Amino acid sequence: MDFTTFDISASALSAQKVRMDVIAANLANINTTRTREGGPYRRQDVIFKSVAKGNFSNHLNSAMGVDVVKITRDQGPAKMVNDPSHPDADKNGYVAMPNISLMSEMANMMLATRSYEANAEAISSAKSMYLRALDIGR
Amino acid sequence: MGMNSIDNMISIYKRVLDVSSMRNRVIAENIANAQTPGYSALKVDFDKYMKNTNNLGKIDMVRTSRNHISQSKQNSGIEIEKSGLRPRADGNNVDQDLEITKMAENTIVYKTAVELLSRKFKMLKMTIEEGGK
Repeated sequence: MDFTTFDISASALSAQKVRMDVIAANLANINTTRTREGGPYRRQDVIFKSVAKGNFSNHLNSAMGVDVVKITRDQGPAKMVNDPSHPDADKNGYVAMPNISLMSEMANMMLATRSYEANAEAISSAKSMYLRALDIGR
Repeated sequence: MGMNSIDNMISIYKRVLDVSSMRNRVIAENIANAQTPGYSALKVDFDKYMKNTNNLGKIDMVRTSRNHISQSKQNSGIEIEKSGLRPRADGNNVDQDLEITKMAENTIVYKTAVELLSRKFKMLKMTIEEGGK
């Protein structure tokens, strides 16, 4: 009996969890103008990659789960907002704000949540299937 | 009802279990990689395996290499093919909702085979036990 399916679905749960953490950080810091590195908070994103999980004895048989290979930081220009009253405004009255769209982050959050649910359902399905098989001949 | 036909039924149900178990794993892979850029969805052709009488009694699971664009034909074993769906902008072609639906259907197929197999064995057992009386 091949239990690789659990490794695969579990890898996706972990990956989507990481993605949720990143989205949460982006949302929390949507107005952060001061960071340790200096300057406004830079949006983070995850990069997913298919990774072989499970039995490696026959490489053709390896099943592909998913991992987060990198958490990237936005390197693009900051969003300049006109707000002379802001303590971090420059001499022209502009503040460098994080380039984060609330809608975009919420959309990503829904994708991550749905994916997490789908993978949790996959684990539950596989478990119920294999447990039912124990009833053969009982 | 001869032993041969009982053997055949049990063998058929077992093959259903093998292929739907493999199919479940492939669907799980697709669901796990539903958002991975460049990932190409796979599928298991259930009917093809069941109709292929060459693999009666064999349970090898052979997988074609992911790099092959065409599907190499295997004489025995469960064939895993590319789904052939159209990819989106990031190269991913998994339809998550379709995969979830396939998994629900597959679970029912598996559990049905388990149930029917179980009943076959119970009948056999009853025949053996009652026959002695």
